[in-house]
Order: sequence, then structure tokens, then C-alpha cells
Amino acid sequence: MYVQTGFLASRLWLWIGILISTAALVAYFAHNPPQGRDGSTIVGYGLGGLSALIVVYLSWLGVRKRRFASSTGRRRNVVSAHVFLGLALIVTASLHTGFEFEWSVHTLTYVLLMIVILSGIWGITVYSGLPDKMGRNVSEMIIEKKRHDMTDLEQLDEDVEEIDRKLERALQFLPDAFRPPVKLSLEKTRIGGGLISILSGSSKGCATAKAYDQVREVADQGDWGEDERKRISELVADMSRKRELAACLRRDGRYRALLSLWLWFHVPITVALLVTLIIHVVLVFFYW
Amino acid sequence: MGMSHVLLERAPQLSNTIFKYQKGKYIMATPDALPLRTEVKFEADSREAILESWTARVNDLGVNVQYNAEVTAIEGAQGSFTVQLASGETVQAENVVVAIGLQGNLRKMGVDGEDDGLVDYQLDDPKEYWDKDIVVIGAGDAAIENAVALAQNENRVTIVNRKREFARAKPGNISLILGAIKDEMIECAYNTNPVRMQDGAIVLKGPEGEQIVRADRVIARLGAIAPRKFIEAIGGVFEEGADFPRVSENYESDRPGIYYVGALAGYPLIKHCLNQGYEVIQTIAGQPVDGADIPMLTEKFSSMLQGRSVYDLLNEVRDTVSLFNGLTILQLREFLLEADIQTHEPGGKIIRKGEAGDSLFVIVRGDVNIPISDAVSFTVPQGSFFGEMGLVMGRRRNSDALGGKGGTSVIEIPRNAALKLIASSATARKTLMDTIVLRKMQTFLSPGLTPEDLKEVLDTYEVINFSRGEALMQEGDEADAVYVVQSGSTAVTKEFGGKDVVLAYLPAGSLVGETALLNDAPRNATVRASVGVEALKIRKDVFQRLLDSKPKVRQIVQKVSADRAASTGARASGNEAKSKIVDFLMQNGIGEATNAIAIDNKLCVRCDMCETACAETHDGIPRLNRAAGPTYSARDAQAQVHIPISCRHCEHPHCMADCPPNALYRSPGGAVQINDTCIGCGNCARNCPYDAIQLSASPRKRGNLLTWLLFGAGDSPGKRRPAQKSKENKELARKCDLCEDVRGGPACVRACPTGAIIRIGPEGLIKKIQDAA
Repeated sequence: MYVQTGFLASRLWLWIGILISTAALVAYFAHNPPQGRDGSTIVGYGLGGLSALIVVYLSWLGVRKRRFASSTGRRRNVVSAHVFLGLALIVTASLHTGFEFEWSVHTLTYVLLMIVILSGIWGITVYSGLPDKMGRNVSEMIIEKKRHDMTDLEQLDEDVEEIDRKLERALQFLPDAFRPPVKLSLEKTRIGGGLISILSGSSKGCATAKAYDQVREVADQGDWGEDERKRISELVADMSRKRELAACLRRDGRYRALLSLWLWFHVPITVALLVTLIIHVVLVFFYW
Repeated sequence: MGMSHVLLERAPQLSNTIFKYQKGKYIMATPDALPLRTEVKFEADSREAILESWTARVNDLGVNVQYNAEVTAIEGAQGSFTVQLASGETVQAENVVVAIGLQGNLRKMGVDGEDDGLVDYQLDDPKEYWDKDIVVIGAGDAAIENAVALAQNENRVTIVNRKREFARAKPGNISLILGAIKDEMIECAYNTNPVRMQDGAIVLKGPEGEQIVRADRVIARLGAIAPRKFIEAIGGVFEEGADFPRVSENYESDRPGIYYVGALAGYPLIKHCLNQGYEVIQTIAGQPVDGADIPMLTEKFSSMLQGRSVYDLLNEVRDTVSLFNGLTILQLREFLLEADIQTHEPGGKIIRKGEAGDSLFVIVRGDVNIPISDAVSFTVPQGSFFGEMGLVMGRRRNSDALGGKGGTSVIEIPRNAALKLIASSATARKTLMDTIVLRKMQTFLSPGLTPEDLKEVLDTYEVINFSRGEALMQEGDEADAVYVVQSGSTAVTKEFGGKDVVLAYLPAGSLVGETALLNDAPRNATVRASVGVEALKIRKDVFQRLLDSKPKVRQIVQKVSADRAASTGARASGNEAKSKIVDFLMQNGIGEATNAIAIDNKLCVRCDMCETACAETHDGIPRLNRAAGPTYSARDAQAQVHIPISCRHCEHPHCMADCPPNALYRSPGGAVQINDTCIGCGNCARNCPYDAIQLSASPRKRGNLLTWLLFGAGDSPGKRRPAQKSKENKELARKCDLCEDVRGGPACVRACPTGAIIRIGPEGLIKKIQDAA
């Protein structure tokens, strides 16, 4: 259930996108010049011009979204337009090529455009699916927020720190056999790291997970007194919570990375696309 | 003037009250509008600067001061008083001005051993103590401020509260102390009283009996009272229930020749006290002057004077306006000084429907027309008032008010002055409340109801305060009354399958609980205060007699009740999940908001564009914290709603409660704003229960790529160093201003790429949730 109307829910731009695509298809099939359908016919120039205009307009979003005071519209509407016009580009640009491909800057422009659009589609899927997962992932782990001016993540980080402090203190009282796993958890638990490990979000090889298993093992082996057993069960509970917290934070890191990873392709390739697009247009008009 | 005089000062220095303030305290010179007439300068400044300038000025003027001179008695009569000093000396005087204030008479604990040196009744400098065991007695502002300051200086502090909770203090201080207790910075003993002092300890008696608490120092902050015994001994008269002795318009007491000024006469503000001293001396010298405010009042009312003196006019205003009946002329002058007089043509708009106004209007001439619909309109007669809904309920004006035939003159009293009026005059409060009840009944039931019809209601209604979460009525209980929600808001819940489901949200101004009375049945739902609620309770028998006597009114109530049942019934069967979200919003105080941010977390991609946009449109300081704040989300939740930290523009802004320069105000557009008189004291930030106000200095100017590259000027692009506070760049309160002067409305909402964020009032938000698919 969505409480707000999101960027994908815009009917207006959906219809404009469909309209442009249909019009392009009709024009393409209606006009059948003797030399065949390609970019140099009237329809070809029309589709090319239209596509180029759309590309420039869509790229302008990058500038527009940073102008906070000077534009009055809602960015959501601009993004709706961006999405649906971008999807319509698949049709208009493809028809513009006339499906003639070769090893040239012209085809390169088309390929770059398609990569940009594909990365955009990737972005749409990420944007529409991940926020929900992210929210659930974190809020499930929150037991109590100490102050409401804290973010959920700050609270979880603090929970981890608190468990670490407890573990540190517990070291003094626990039997020596527990020392290695507790030390392992305290010293070797890593959240984050390089791009690959953030993106995997995996908790395989988590030091605390390993330490947790070891603690259970040691706990099962020994013959402990009343007092020690109480300490050990507390340790097991703390380790288990820390293991879950770490896994949750890793998943969150992964979601966060995914939410921006697609932009790392979408934006630079758009810049490259603009360069090749200019070359393409200049070549067509001056050297054809 | 060359008058023979002596200034008897009990302490070894002048201005003892200010001398005893915490070091460095910033002292305000309110009321700003009032001119100062004395030879001694007084402007808002630090304690130290004021003391220094006063001492120097008193020396320059050659004032005859006798220090360490405590007065014990005054004998004789006007013209030949004999003032008895503690030292045994006597002083002869024709007139005596008593300006002793209240701080010389601090309330004591009254326990054994309190004079042994361990107990102090004030705290000059919390930094004097470190690593000590300190017991603070009291639950007022001074006690709380001292306790927290001491705890911050690494002392082990116990605060002793005679009662079950901290209610007497300012809201900001209450949250401060509760936070400190929760964080175990301060130990708190509730329901506890000091019993006696012991060697290095204090004995306290609490619910669990006596306990001995170690104490290197006991600081008792129990407030100050007028030294009644002394005042009565020198001929002062306290009216029944009054905290201050009676004075005439010239501040003369019941014993001719003895005058009281300042806090003793009920005027705790420094400027008042200085002016009164001047006026009294002029009176004694036989050259009486008008009060400092009289020329200002004369100017204000010039259009209405028509040759009369301002005193005549004041008397006339007091007699015609029922709200002012219980005031003395001195009090009336004080209120009118802050008020504004307006004259309107017939049909001219005095207030506009939908405007966010919170001032109160009093009609001094002519009458006022309040159109409810095209056909029906109320006439408010001369001497009456209007606009009280905005003041009491904090909601937008619900109708226009137009000047009546022959023109109208009204006095507009700003919110703070009006609240002071209600607080200080029981008559005013009663008049205001009665009128509200009357008008409520007229709008709800029938405009034709007269005060006579409602006499029994007016005689018997009660004003009841409910704290957040408290139930006005419980499902299944026997019905004993109907309520009118006066301020705050309530949530109606009903139990379905063992779970409470929220059916409706009723804002201030609603009539609650009528259904059960109509049908003579038990309560069919529970109504809880979703924030602090003030409600008017009308007894069952009284309400039923009203319905019995007016069949038409009964029909109206039946219709209201039926409509409500139909709409809530539809909602109840609708969706438990939605009701959970509404419940979450209510628990997080959305009920008292007028315009809050809500984020649909299923759409939010955590890009923080909202924050960036806010910062870019507001001097680089974002006024919202997107990630912080409560979130509604659970495994089975269909929707995720997040309330980020940002101003909610509450109906009754907590922040406004205690702003020394009165810098907070509500704009006509509805935003709670801060003007540039802010002094950065931080009261508003502490008072805000939602942490929506922050103190910060202006950040450095944003770096420009070129100048940064070429000259290293400014910050590198995309980075901004935190603001450095300094003498010129003071930390000031910053908060959301609803982007009222930005084209296109709130920048946060406009900047959101996915449409996740919205700024909306509670009714709109709840409707959105109810309508969501």
C-alpha cells in the first residue's frame, strides 16, 4: 500500500510515452521510401531529431534537480516524464537507425543510448523494490529507539557498541575457554569494506557468526557451575543479537549501494552519449 | 531633585536579586515597547554589565546608600515615620518606598538543622562544585536548572520532588530533567520530603519510609514569597487569596505614605520596577506624572479619545468590555500597551476565514458581523470579543469577521498578552470560557440558542485536562457526560477481536460522546487524548434536559450522531492495517500538528535530496533530518510511514511557551516562524517535544568552484565546513518556515524525485491513508 503517489504512478506521462511510441511506429511503417527505411529519410530525420531532443531534455534533469530555488514544479513529475520519455526513446531511436548497424560512431551512439536506458530500467526496478525491503530490514531489528532524534542506523550502531562493551566486561568473568571467540568477535567483526563485499551484503565469514558457533560449542563441552551458566547464556544471547545486527547492517549497506550503483553507469555513460551524439549529428550534417 | 533621602539596603551591595543570578545570565529588558524614564540606564545585557553600570551610575548621582541596613519595623504616620533598623538605629522619614522584591524572602524547608551551613537557597555558580554529592530540593525551574547544571559538572545529584511528577516547571525544563533522570545523570526521589539534616547528610521521607542521603551540599529552591508578616506589620493589606499586598494607582499602600513598587506590588519585570520607583518619587515630590505608558496609550487611542482623557477612556473600556471587568486600571494599562487598536468601515474585513491568526479581538465601539453561511450570520455586540477559537484551539480562523453598521473599533490583543490576561484574571477566564461554550453550542446545535437556554450548561460545565493517552471515555462505560474538545485532539478507538482499532480522529472543536447520551446506552467507543487535551465536560442530566426542552436541537444532535456512526462504521470494517498507521501517527503527536512532513518509506530512496534542497534554500542549514524520527514499519505492515524530524507547526506551539524576546510567531500562512529578535537562548529548542528546532550559527558562504580553484577561497565544492560560532555569528534558533517565501512551496517536497515526501495536516494525511489502495 502506497500512501503517496510515486513517480511511476503518473498516468499523464505514461500516455505521452505511449503516444510518442505509437506515432513513431505508425510513421515508420507508413513511409516506405525506395532506398529503404533508414535515418536519412524524412521520417528518419524526424525520429532522429525527436530522439536527440528527448535525450537532451532528459539529461537536463541532472542540472534541473539541483536547482532548488528557481524551479517551482515537483521533481517527481519531472522524474515521471524522464522515465516514460526515456522508455519511449527505445522505440524512436531504434526506428531512427532503420536497423542498419556497422562499426561506426553512429552505431556507438545508439549502443550507448541503449545502455543508458537499460541502466535506467535497472534504476526503476531498484527504486521501486528496495525502499520497502530496506525499511523492513532495519525496523525489524530496532528494539527501542533511545532518542527520537537518532536515525534507525545510529540506534543499531549503538546497539552493537553496547554489546561490545558488555562483551569486554564479560571477558573478566567468563571462563578462559571463551576468551578466543569473544576476542574474535570484538576484533574481527567487519561491516562494510570494499565495493564487492558491500554489494554482496553477505554475512558468510562473519567473525561474530563464527564466534557464536564457537561459544555454543565451548558452552556445550564444559561442566559449568550455576553462576557461570548464567553468564554463558547471557553471552550466547549477546552474541546472537550481535550476529543478527551485523547481518542486518550488511544488508542495509548492500541496499544502499544498490540504490546508487546504477547511477554510476547511468550518469557517466550519458555524458559519453552526449559526446557521441554531437559527433553523430555533426558528421551527418557536414560530411555525409 | 535635591530631596533628602536614604536608600536602606539589607545586603552589602545593591541589586541583590540580580547579584544572585547565575553568573553570566543574560537579562532581558521587557516589555520592549515601554520607555524607561529613570536616570539609571537599563538595557538587555549580561548580569555583570548591568550590575557594573548601575553601581557606577548610583555613585555618579550621589545616592545616599546605607548598606547592611535591615529594616525591622516602621512606626508613626505619614510625615513622621520612624524606621527601625536591625542594628538598633532609627531613621526619620516623611514617606517610605518599599522596594524589597521577593528574593529576600526565599521559602525555606522548615526542617531541623537547616541552619547548620549545609543548606543553601541558591546556586551562584554550578562550576564551584565538582565530584560532590549534592541534593537539590524542589521541582520548579530554578531547582531543575541547578540540578542539571550540577550534574553536567560531574556531581552526583539527587533531586527531591514533593510530588509525583514535575508539573510546575516550564515544559522545556521538564523534558530536560526527565531526560537527565532517564539517562541516570540525576537521581530523583518523587513523593519525598526533607525531614531533617544530619552530619553530612539529609534525611528524606518518601513512599518507602525514611532514608539517609549523603550530601556535601543541599540546595533548596523552593521559590520566593512576599514577606507577609513584615508587610502586614507595616500596614499592608493582602486581599483574600492574593499573593501581593494591595496598592493604589500611585502604588500607595493602605497605610498612607508607604509605597510598594516592583515584585512586591506584583510587577516582577525590572523595567516596570524602575519606572514605578520614578513615578512614586514624583508623586511624593508633589509633581505626579502619568505612567510611562500613558503617552503611548494616548497615542494609540487618539482616534477614540474625542477630547476625553485617556483615564476616562480606560474606565469606559473596562466597564463595557466584560473580559476586562475584573482588572484594575493598572493591569488594563499593561494589557492595552501590547494591544493594537483598529477601526473598520462597515463590512470591512477584520479577520479572514482560513487565516492562521491567534490573537483575540475585543469590540470597543460598534458591532461585528460574523457570517456563518450566505444566509445566516452572528452579530457580536459592543463589549464582547471574538477570535477566541484561534487563541484557544490554535486552529485557523473558521469564518470572516466584518465591521458592523456605523463602523467598528476593535482592540487586537496578541496571543501572549491574551494568555496572560486569562491567567491573571479569574473573571476574564470565566467570561472567555462561558462565551466559548455558548458559541460552541450555538454552532453545533443551533444559532438560535440564547444564553438563557444554555444557562444550566453554563453554570455547570467543567474544564478538564487530559494528558496524552488518557481516556476521556472508555468503551462499555456508563455515559455520564458529553465533552467539547477545546484544544488538542482525540482519537476514537473501538475494540475488534481484542485489538483497538482507530475509527476516527476528532480535532479541537469537536463534540464527543453524544451518541451514548442520546440512546441512553453505554459508551460505544473509547476516546483518548492523542496529545494534551483540554475539554469541557457537560453533565449528562444537564445535556439531556437541554435536548428535552428543545426538540429541534435533539434532531440536530441525532443527525450528527447518525452521520458519525455511518462514517466510522464504514471505516471500522475497512482496514485494520490502516487504523494501525493512524494510531502510530497519533502516538507520535501528529494530532497536534497543523502541517507535518510524512514520508512514504516504500517510495523513499534515501537520497536526502529533501535535506539538500532545504539547506540550499535556507542558508545552508537543513531544517529537517530525514533519517531520524519515528517510522511505522513491521514485517506484516502493508505501508511504511516515516515522520522525519522537522517542524510540525503545532496548533499550540510548545516552542512559543517561553521565548524571552517573543521572537516566535505564527504567520498568516500558518507557519510558526522566528523573527530576527532571537537571542539564541535555546528555550524553544528545549521546549519542542519533537526536536524540530536547532541552534546554529550561520555557515560559511558556499565555495565557488572557480574562486576555490584559483584562490583557495571558500570551501571545496560539495563540502561545507560546519558553522563557527563567534561574537558576531551567534548561534540562533533555526527551524522550518514552510518555505513561505520560496516560490512553489516547501523545497523538500518539490525536490523529492520519487514523490515520497509530503507536507500535510493531520486530517489530510489520515484521509490519504484511508484512501490509499
